[in-house]
Amino acid sequence: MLQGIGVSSGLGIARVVIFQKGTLKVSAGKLAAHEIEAEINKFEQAQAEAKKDLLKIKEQVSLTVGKEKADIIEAQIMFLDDPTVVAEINNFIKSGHNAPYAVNQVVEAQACIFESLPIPEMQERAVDMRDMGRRLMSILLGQKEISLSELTEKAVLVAHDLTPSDTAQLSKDKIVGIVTEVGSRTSHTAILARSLGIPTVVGVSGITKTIRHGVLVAVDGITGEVFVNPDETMLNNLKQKMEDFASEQQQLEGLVSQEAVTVNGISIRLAANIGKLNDIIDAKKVGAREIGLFRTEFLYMDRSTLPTEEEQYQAYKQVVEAFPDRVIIRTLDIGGDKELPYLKQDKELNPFLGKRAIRLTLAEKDLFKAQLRAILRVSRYGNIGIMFPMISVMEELQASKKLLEEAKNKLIAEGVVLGNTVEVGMMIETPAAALTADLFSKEVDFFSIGTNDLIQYTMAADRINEQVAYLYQPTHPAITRMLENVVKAAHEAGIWVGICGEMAGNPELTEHLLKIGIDELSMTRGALLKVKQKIREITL
Amino acid sequence: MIKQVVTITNPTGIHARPAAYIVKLASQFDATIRLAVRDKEVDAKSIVSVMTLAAQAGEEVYVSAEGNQAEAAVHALVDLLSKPFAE
Repeated sequence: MLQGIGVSSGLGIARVVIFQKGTLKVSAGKLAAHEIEAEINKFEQAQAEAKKDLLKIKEQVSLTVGKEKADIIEAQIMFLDDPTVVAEINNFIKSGHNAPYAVNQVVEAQACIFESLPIPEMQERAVDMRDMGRRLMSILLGQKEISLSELTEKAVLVAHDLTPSDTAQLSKDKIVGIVTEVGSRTSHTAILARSLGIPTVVGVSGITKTIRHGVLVAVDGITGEVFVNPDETMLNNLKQKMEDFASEQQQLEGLVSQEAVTVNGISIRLAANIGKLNDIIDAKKVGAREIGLFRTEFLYMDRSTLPTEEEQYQAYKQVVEAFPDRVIIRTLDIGGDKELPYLKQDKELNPFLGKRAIRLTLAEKDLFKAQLRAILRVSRYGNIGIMFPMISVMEELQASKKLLEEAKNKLIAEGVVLGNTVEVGMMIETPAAALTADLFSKEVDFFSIGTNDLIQYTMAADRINEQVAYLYQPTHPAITRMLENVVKAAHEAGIWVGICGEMAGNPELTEHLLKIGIDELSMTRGALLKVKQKIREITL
Repeated sequence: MIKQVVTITNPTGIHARPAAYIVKLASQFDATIRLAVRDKEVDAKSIVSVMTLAAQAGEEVYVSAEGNQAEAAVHALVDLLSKPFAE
């Protein structure tokens, strides 16, 4: 049994096909002057052939996998046509180098530039660049390589690594599993394998040398285990595991279109938490119709300047247009633990008990106002809610509401169109707020309980600290009593109360929370279907 | 030469996919088009060059063009760059 990292769930059992690429030998030999023109033509022909091949692969991928993955191939075609790249290759040839050498030099140089950029997504383009270069060189050297689409029976693919154009040709009906020597959860092989649903394990170093072509293997894409020559018993166990997994997947997919309704017909509001614009697609995939927590910190991080009101407006607009039923937007919830170069922040010994979230935004009024304006401006695209994080005292809530009201009036005076439904709520995450919920309930349209922080502050323990993490107990009576108190205060004032912390996404706590009287559960996309399934099994 | 400046609003700046849109758009015009960010200036029809710009949200991009369709090119690119890209 070999151990690697499981990066794409499922179980694949088939015979091994070892996918290896030969080394391309590029010589530095120079050309004679009269050979240069012919070499330029040779390159042009290779360029045309590579483009033809890539277009064919792109079409294949569009049909079998989808447009999104076809874009990876499209990028390579664009590299092939890039005027700067082509000009540089021609320059090398004109100065007497052979075409494969020229291609190698230019491609490597550009790949290194990509790798030197401080953005991971750009660094990954180096792989695409080299993949394209390799294709060109193999045509020029007459060593065109066999494609994966030539397989005749089901196989588990074993390779050192797979390039984007290799993985783009993978189809689920021939390849039932993949094992590579290198790679990670975020490498392109893993990403594509996941979108195709092919069980994949990476990081099994040396496997291309130790395993023999044609041997039977079982690949467990969850545990990262690769069983070589499994016996009858093992095979049966694995097959059972495979069936259980498949039916679980099917069940979950079926849930997307179903309602979150209990056995006795009570409808529960389920929402998704999102933290960046890319999450929109994932949230839609699991059938979310509402966003219960839209974290806005992503707009403020990893940059040297404050996000402008306009930038924020464009970002919030995308989310609200995607989920017009309801989007609850949380104002900036950030503090001293994150360095923001555009804010003067004093060093704090205790950033989690320090100037963060609402404390920060009330001290940085221009920042706060810009965000409030941007949020109000998107209210015309759907039903929105604004929530203020980490409220401890009434003054914070009142000051925030006042700024919001002022922003609203100013926008109206400017003639800006605003929507009808803007719920104003607050997060309950400090014990102070939880214990005085009855005072706050009259001042807001809803509560959203941030159980992660509430539990930490109440149990006085850091859940990331292994030595005390055992004290992070979501069902401790202290927490339950607080939740009950908050629910009571909310319902007596006629407002709804939801939970946006991790507890909301734990199906084992769903019944407990709903019995307390929580009206809405907002959770990470991955948890939504399981919680919905739980809701459909319980009676309230 | 026509020149105009635009601020990038796309939260993730000009990464791979936006760069492709930009280059595809630029390539449609009969003009030499340049994009400049900070101290770097590149050919807007060259995808590796546009990607290497690694322009981030909030940065200013100077779009300039010369040629038959210079004006149309600048307008189209400024329009594209001023909005976020649907992901």
